[in-house]
Amino acid sequence: MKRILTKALAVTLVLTLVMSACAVIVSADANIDAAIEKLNEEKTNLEQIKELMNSVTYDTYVTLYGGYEKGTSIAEINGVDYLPEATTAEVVAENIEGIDCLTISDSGRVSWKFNIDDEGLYNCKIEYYPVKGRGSTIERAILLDGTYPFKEARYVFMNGVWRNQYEEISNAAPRGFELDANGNEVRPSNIETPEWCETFAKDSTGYFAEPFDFYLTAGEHIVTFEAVQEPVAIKSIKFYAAEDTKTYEEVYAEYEAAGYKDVSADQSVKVDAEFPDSTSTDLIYPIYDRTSPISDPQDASLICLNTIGGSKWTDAGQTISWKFKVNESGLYTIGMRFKQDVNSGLFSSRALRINGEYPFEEAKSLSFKYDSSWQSCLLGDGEDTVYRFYFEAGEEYTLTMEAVLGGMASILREVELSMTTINNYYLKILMLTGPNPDIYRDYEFKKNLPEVLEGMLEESKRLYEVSDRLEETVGLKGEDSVILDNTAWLLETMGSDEDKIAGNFSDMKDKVASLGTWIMNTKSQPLEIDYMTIQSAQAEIPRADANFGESLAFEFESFIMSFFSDYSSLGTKVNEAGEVETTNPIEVWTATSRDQSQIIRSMIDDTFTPKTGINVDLKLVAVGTLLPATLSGTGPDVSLSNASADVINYAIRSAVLPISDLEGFDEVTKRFDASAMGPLTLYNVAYALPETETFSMLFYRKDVFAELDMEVPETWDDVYDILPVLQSNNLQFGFPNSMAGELIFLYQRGEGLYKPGIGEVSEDGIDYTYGMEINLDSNVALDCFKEMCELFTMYNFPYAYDFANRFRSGEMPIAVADYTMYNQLQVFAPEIRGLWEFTLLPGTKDEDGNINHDSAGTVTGVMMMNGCENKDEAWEFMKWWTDTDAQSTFGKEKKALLGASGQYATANLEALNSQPWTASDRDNLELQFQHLTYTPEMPGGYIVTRYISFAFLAVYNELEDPVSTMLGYIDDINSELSRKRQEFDLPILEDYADRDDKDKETATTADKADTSDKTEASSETTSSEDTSATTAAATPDNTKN
Amino acid sequence: MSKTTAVKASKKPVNRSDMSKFRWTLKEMKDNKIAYLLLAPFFIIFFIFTVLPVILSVFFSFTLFNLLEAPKFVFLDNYIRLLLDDDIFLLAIKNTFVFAAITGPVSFMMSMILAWFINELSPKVRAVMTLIFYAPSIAGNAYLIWQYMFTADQHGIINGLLMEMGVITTPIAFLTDPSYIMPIVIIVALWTSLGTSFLQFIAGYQVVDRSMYEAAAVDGVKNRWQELWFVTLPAIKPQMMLGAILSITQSFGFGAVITGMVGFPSPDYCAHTIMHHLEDYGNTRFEMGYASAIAVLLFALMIGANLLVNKLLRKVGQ
Repeated sequence: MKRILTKALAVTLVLTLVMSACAVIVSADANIDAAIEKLNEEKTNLEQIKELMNSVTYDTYVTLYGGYEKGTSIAEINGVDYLPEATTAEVVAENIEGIDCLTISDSGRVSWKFNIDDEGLYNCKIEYYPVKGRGSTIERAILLDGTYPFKEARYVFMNGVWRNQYEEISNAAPRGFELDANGNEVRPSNIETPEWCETFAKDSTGYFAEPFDFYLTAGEHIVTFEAVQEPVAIKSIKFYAAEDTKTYEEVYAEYEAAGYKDVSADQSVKVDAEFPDSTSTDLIYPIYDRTSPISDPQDASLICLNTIGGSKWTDAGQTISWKFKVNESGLYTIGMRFKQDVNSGLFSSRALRINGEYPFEEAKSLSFKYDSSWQSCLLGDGEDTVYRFYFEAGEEYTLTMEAVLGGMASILREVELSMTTINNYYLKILMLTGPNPDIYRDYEFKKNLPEVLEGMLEESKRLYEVSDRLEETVGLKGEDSVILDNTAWLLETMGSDEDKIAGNFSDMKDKVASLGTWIMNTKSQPLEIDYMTIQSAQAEIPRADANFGESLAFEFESFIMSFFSDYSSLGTKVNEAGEVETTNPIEVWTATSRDQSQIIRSMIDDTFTPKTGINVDLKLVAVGTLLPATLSGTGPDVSLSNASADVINYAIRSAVLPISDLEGFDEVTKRFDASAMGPLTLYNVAYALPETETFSMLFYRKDVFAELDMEVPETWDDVYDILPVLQSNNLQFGFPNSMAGELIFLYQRGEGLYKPGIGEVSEDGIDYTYGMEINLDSNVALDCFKEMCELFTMYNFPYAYDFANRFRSGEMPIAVADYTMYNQLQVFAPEIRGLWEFTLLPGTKDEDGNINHDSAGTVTGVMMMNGCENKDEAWEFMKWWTDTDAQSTFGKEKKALLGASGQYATANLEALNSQPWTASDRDNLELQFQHLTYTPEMPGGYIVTRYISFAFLAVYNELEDPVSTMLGYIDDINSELSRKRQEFDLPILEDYADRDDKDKETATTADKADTSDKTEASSETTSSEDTSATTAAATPDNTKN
Repeated sequence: MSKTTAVKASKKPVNRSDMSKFRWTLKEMKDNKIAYLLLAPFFIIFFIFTVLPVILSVFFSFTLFNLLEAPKFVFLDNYIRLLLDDDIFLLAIKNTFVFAAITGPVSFMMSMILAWFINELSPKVRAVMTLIFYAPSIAGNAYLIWQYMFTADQHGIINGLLMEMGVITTPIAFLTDPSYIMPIVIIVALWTSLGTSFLQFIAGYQVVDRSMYEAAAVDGVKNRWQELWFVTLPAIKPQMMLGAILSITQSFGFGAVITGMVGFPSPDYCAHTIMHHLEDYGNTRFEMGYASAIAVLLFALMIGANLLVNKLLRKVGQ
């Protein structure tokens, strides 16, 4: 009986155990299933934005989960073991450099399952291989169990590995840098050299120096990587709690215990900073310093690439690594000659790693103070302690410096949070009062926006507090804390007295803008390094700067040498014999900056000349030199970057050679969108190849749209639907006026700017009558003009505005603007990252319900001048310059030179595609490319822009009737067109003036209809062949500033 | 040396009436060849870069010339079209005269009177004041600051101020609304016009001989105005002449300021001057022949205006 009972009990127990285990498994499975379901859920744009806006920040996340202990378990996930049911990215299991890994494309998600035994906080370490992509930073969003744990997890960066390509040391390159004909050192190219790397998932802005702590419960979890940009190969993802780094004191105690001694004073290894082993981005490359005679090396007249960093090495997360060996084992100090002359009153911070590890806690944030001249130091805590490092003789060490925000991180974070909140309050008040509130009106803020009033007081307190902390960190009260204090004071005033809100409203906007600028400036951590010495603590520290005598001698020598330097020959390289080659060269002129022409120069030397054997004499000229030079017969063979209007202006006066018949022309044009050739073509003859093409797109603020519950307009009808919502909230729509605005409407309705030709085709099959009559008096065109004017007169669209500023503040949450504004917003408005997007222009629906989203492209082109003797060579050059390789190389180099704002708007589609766009931006851009058209350049075309603008201004300023105003200018336009066309012996309207009369006299009504039908039909054919429908682009006309 | 010259001279006594005017000139030139030699460098440069272009533009004004192809001779066509068939040119002439008639004299008077006032100040204050008034004209494109003040942006300085005060509710497009353009450009032109002529006047006032005032006082000058009219101004007539010429040339050539402020071309040609017309045809339309014709007319206008001013200035002090 007892045994039975025991047995039963045991069975029950076992059963319970099994069942509970089952339950656990089931519940775990349910957890996973739910996560997968969540991941695969389709979400609308609006929902995603709402999710983003409601997500917690890491700050909040830490307060929520910071109380948990560090987890003890370790979960290592192999990259190849991904979960196919929750993966949308293209993945390939590969073996790279002998390591199995999973290569993931640059869009979509990949998920992995892992198990955690112990509840707690975990770091996430990723082993990855930055496979070659478009050259930007790898960016992923991390989701845990189908949700973003916090906002910052949406932006996790993985650095790439970039290396300079040095030359073999020889006479032509004494230091490994190539020399040009004058002996200047030429910047080496920087190429991506992938290798296996590891990183923790951490904050990309640098506001949190430590890796993210993810809170994980015991049980199974799913981690998902969502691609933002660039492909990557993942070997493993490891969740574990990383150990704390020891403090310097502890480390030094260990050194002492081990009996390590300082090395002898003569032991010193110099590491030239301009020869890094690798950098994290192509933006960092050797630069030259000419401010100090003792920068190493230095020359009074030649360019010596003697330093690295400076304004190129400012963003948190960017790293530079150097390699070195020492000859004696023992304790060393690290001396450094550096310059930080940008952040006045503040310091720049760097984290130091030896062989990838922080040697001690303090190395995570080393400060470099401001000084207008060069400084030198031994790395230390800035007071008495100089840090010592133990190095083993003969072993190779990697020293890595990473730009970090250091002591400023928490301050910046708070200010940015505060700014976002204040901006939010600004928008809320704006929606109530409009941009110019009336100070005599009672808006009842207390009743309508009580939370804003309270919030402002809170932000004021926060800013005061941050300002105090800043003062403590920096050590003195400077202009930086004044900006914070002023804003805090203003908020205090506005928050405590609602009557003061209206009067101070515009000030509030300025304050938000200046906070934004302050954050941007302070975030930047510039540091220029000349060299480092791995030296004994007993040795002298490097010399900081030259004395007065040396400086004087150097400056004087430079001055004298400036009379002998040849600044125009742009890094021409020499041949083996040491001479500049001059055989049969073609002369190419460019009017860009010196740096950009240097890029072109080195591209020519690296690829074009070796490949074709054609020498190119590239000259940097001032804008506007081309005309006089051509006039006097001393012009170039090829001219770069000409506006399309100039191309045609030169062409009709036979100063440019036609290129349509040249060998391979048809092949070449396939590189571009059809709309790019249009403006460079006149009556079927092309005169230039497009270099850049830009066009308008629709920019909108996702967050504002989500808040107002609006959908992004797809057609103009949708725009008219949302206008009342925008306007009742005092928000604006940005739209270009005059010509650009008119053309958007006109082209979307399928009309052209000029009337189709009359169908009289000449012997060579071209209708030369196209372009002799303006189409602005057609019913459709007049409608378009009226609609455009009404946007400004009836809907009160702003006539003049600063797009970037208003878009940033949210005052103008939607605008039609040139797509290259993208660059500016990327750099100028980091605080709205992810909250905006550019997309297709709103379209016009035709009767069949098709939506026409046409936008008109503006192009610049490269043209061959009349008088060019080596036509074949010049044509080779033009073909090479516009090909995909050359254009994408130029784009990359330009971006490396100018930073993210230098994104190059190349007309070459493949090259544009290869640039670092995020996947979604690229898709949108491609969509708009399918809806592109152009404005043909016609003799006399300048007059059109001019009179449209006159007509618009008359309507806008004097409230004239749009239709009659426009009609009043038609005759003027047509007669100017005729006059110009007469000059070039083209058919003019007057030649056909009697055509209509004759029709009237002879033809019956039916006949007339017939004729007009025919004309229309034939014109359709002509326009499709010749000027392919219509197109656009506000030619930057004749506006001379 | 001097002996030989003397001998030569005595050998061949010359009489003006003995020879034709041409030969006399030639002979004079021979005698003074050193002077001509010294003058030559300046004259050659002046001729090539100033006189020749003027002559050339007179020549081109009789042709059709697009800068890139050879000119075609058309005789008076350009002038006929310009004077009889170009409405915009007539508008430009009107604008130029309105502009010149206001800015020229006002700027001249302003220079003169301001200089007179400032001249009364103590030397240190005078130096500072001179700098303040002269600064706008040295600082190249400083007038562009007015563009920021008058911008049509609702957050622009003037618009923002007016809206804040409640004078207007929507921003005024000052620089694109024809009814505001002329007055604004004239103000700006006046602001920048206190240039060299202003300095000339200050310098001029300084060199007037003090004793003349004393003499005038003895002769019965009763007040400062009489002193100014009968003593100071006649004494600085050369400076006034220069000032006037500068003001006139300046006021005819203010194109850049207008373009800088309101763009080119100005809305509805409301501030289109002859300078703009010239620019329009020369740069935008590549019609150098026509542009030359405009330039020739402008040249003639300026000469005419200068002659007129010359006549007026003779009356000073009478």
